Formats: sequence, C-alpha cells, structure tokens
Amino acid sequence: MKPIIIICLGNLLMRDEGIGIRLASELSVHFADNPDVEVLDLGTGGLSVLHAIAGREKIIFVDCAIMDQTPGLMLRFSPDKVRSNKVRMRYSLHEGDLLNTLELSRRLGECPDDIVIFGIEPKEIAHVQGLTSELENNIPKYVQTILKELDRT
Amino acid sequence: MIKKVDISVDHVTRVEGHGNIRLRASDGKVEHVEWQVPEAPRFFEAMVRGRSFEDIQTIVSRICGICSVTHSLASIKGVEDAMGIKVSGQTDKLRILCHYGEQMESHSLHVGYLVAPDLLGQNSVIPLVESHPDVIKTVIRLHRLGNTWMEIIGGRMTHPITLKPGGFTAIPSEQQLRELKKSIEDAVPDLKILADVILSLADKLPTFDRETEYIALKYPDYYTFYHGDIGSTDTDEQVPVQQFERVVNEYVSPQSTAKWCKWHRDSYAVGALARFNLNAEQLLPMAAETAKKFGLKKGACNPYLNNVAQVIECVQVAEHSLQLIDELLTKGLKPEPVKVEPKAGEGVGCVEAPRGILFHRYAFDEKGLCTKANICIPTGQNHANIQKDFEAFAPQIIDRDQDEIRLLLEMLVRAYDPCISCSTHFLNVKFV
Repeated sequence: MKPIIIICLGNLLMRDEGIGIRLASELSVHFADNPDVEVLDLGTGGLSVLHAIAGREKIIFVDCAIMDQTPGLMLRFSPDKVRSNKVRMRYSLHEGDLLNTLELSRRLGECPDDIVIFGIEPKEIAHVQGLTSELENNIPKYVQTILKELDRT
Repeated sequence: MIKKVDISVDHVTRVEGHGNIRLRASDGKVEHVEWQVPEAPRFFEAMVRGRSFEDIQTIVSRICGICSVTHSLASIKGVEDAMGIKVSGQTDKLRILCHYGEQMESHSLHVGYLVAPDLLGQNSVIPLVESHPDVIKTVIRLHRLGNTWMEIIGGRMTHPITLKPGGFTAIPSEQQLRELKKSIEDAVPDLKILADVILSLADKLPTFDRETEYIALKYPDYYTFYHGDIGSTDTDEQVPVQQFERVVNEYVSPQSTAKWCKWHRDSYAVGALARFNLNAEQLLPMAAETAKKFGLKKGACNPYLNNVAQVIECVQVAEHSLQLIDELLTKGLKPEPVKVEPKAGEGVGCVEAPRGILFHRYAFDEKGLCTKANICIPTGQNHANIQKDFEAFAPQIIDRDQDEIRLLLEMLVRAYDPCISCSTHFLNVKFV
C-alpha cells in the first residue's frame, strides 16, 4: 500500500461534477511509476472511501464542491474547516457525503490525520458529458496546485 | 378531539431526485398517503446513442457507484445479444464472480449501515461505532471484502475496467483467485455474526404482510443473479429477457411523476426477497441454513423481510463463489484475447442488481454505433409497490405516534434498498 493517495471523486456524466475524475486521468500520468503516491478514480463510490484511506499517511481528495465561490475556483481545505449543507434522508445507500464518511472513519480509528480536500466550484451540474469552459480551461492550473501539495510532504 | 396526522418528509436538491413521503390523516382515517419520486433519469440513454458498442460499458458503469458492475454486465450482455457474441465458460464464471462481489458489498452495506441503525434505535450508523463496535466492524470487514473482490476481478473497486463485450481485457492470476478464496472462507464467521445480529433484532422488523407479485430471474442450474428467464410468483410462465417490456408494462400514474410498472397486479416487487421467493429451493447449504434460522420461507410477503433475504444472499454468494473459484482453478485460467467485429442488431441484457432485476436494451447499426437504448432499473419497478404498501400499511399504524408512523414508513422505503440519487454526490459545504 502506498502511503499517499490522491482520491478523485465525481461523475463524468454530470458536467462539472466530473472534474475529479478528469483530474484523476491527468494526475495518473504524473504518478504512474511513483512508489509513494497512488491516484485513485473512485467515481461515486461513496462509502468505499473508508477502505481507500485506511492505513494511509496522507490523503488528498479532489472533488467538485459547492462552496458559494466563483465557478472554476479551487480551494484547499481540511475536513474540520467545513460543515456539510447536505440533508441526508438515509433512504438509500446512494446518498454520498464525504464528510460523513470521514467522520465514520475517524470514529473507527482508521482515519489518517493528514487530509486535504481540493474542492472545485462547479459552473453547472447537469446530465451532460464534458466540463464547462470555466473548469476545462483551468485544468493545468489545478494539476500544478495539486502537484505542489505533494511538495509539502 | 380530532387527532390529526400530517407527515411531509421532503428532500429537495438541485439535481438528484430524492423520494418524499406524504401522509395526511384525520381522526384515525388516512386521507392521503403518497410515495413521491421523480422520474428516474433517462439521460443515460441519450448519452449512449451514437456511441460505439465498445464505449457503452464505460458510460453506463457511471450510472451508479454501487451497482457499477451490475450496469456494466447488463450492457455487455445487451451488446453480445445484439451482435450474436458467445463468451467462454471462463468469462462466464469470472463475470458471475465479479457480480457476487458487488452483491456482497451492497447487501452488507445496506443491512449494516442503513437497516441496523433503525433496528438498534439510532438515526445513523455513526453512533453504532461506540454502542455496537463489533457489529459495525463486522459489516466493514464484509464491505471491504466486497471491494477487494471487485478490484481483483473488475480491475477497480468501483466502475470496473476489465469487463468488455466478448470477455475480459485482463484476468486475475490464479494466485489472486486463491487469495480471494481464502478471504471469502475467512469471512464465513463474519457472515454468521451478521446473520445472528439481524436475527436477534428480527422482532424489531415491523409485521406487515401484503400479498405481492414478486419478479426475478429464474434459471434451472442455480440460484441466479445473471442467467435465466423472467419469472413471477403469480404465474408459471417464464418470459425470455428479450421480451421484458411484456413484464414491466411501464405506465403513467396520475399519482406519480415516475413511471410505474405492473404485470399481473397493480404493482410488483423486485429485489432480494423476490429472488428468494422464486428460487429459495436452490440456495446452497449454508445459505439454506441461514434462511432456516430466520424461519424465512417461500411465500413471505412482508417487505421488511427483504433485509433478511439480503443477509441470506450474502451467504449464498460467498458459498457459490467458493465453488466457482474451485472450478476455475481446477481448469486453470488462461488469457483469452477479445476481438469483436461489430454488426447491426438489437439485444437485451438482464442481470439481477442487488436491489432487483435490471434490463438494458440496445440497438446498433452495422458500424456498431448505438441507435437506441432503453434502461429499466429495479428501483423504478418498485415504486408502485412501495405506494401500494403505503396504502395498505398506513391505516394499520395510523393510531400510533406521528414520529413512529414516519419512521415506519421511512423504514419501509429503506427495506427496498432504493437507488435514488446515486449519479451525483458532490460536496456541498459551508466554511466554519
């Protein structure tokens, strides 16, 4: 198991919701032979995050995030700096909430301390493939910022 | 004094659809009860039109993060049916094995993370970590096993990459299969713990029987999730999957914006209990023993027992997987290059998702480009049945406390393990 994992979340079929997955393919190229860093496209795997993070030293999440910011803006934050606005009905396993999953992992004693989330504000979430230009044009910048995060470790 | 009950459980989000529960009653009489759901998204069908047969699986595997193997297999079978492609026995077994990993993952998650909190009087799984750590750790081990299992066969823990029309782009090594077999064998005690925990709480499952038509695949050789024709508890007739529209009979109800389905009655149910009711006599010994412990028999028509059937199916897929791995190892695994020449045609792929029977229909032109797609998901097939359950159950519980009524109706929805909003999951946060 590699000590550092970049977990990219999202859905390529949902417009800007696919940004995490798009960045997974970009970042994979940089870390293809890296013995310490794994890049994982976890899609909308939701609770599988539990297993992907257990036993790691550092976690970086890359995800679409509604943060009331300018579309395309990427912010770096840790889970304790945000609260979820989501209302969960628990009807279905399919209601994902990353923050809730991290809390479960923490209570289980499996959650690493070093977690960074890169949230990218969407312009549009809709049933369409492909990103809006606000995000598409920023791909190189997002990649560079995430690569710099690895320089910190 | 007239006692009024007014329940409105709403959830409105920007894109994803959630179900709403509505109940209005006065003086012990139910005036209105409704399971409100938006139409299941059909946009995936538009997304695959014009795309190559080789791309369909990649696209539809993203419909759902939990049923991604199921959607992949349904689409691949649809392509193969349309183009007359036959696959090897090795491919067949590896696909079924991969599919079982998803059943294990999904059922253990559903029973452990969504149903157990209800039965233990908690509103989420998180408090159970402190109050019932052994239960939760057991569930997590089973969930982890399901994930590893799918990764070994599908190449990734979700959204598989090795499953393709005609076969596999990569197969596991024999060593990996041996390790998977050991992991499944090691999980047998956990499966027993899960069954014992749910059994000890089974009296907390509400008592509510309503005669229901159950629909699932039927196959002579074994308890099936993958092969076979469509069967029903209302008839001995079995319908080839290519004629699934004869079974689902989608129609518009003035009560709902989602299409409803019916065959011999106003509604029908699909899922673990449906499979059990149609195929219980084919359960393998450990699974049959688990069913016996619960006293679950064919003909059960309490929808809450779907959760018990899920536990039994966890045991069934583990047991059958051990057999399949032995068969694969005995014969020896060998790479089988896949080369598919496209041709025009139309076909149907059908598999049992953890939450019920799933149909994909596709048509392709001579270049292998998709010209038509129709996906009929299990949750859509269950909506009408949830409504009919509500109509029968609400009058039986209307004298109870309003919060208890709401919880019982929510538990009923949960029992069906619906897939309502899985295609999106984005973070929605405020900074503190």
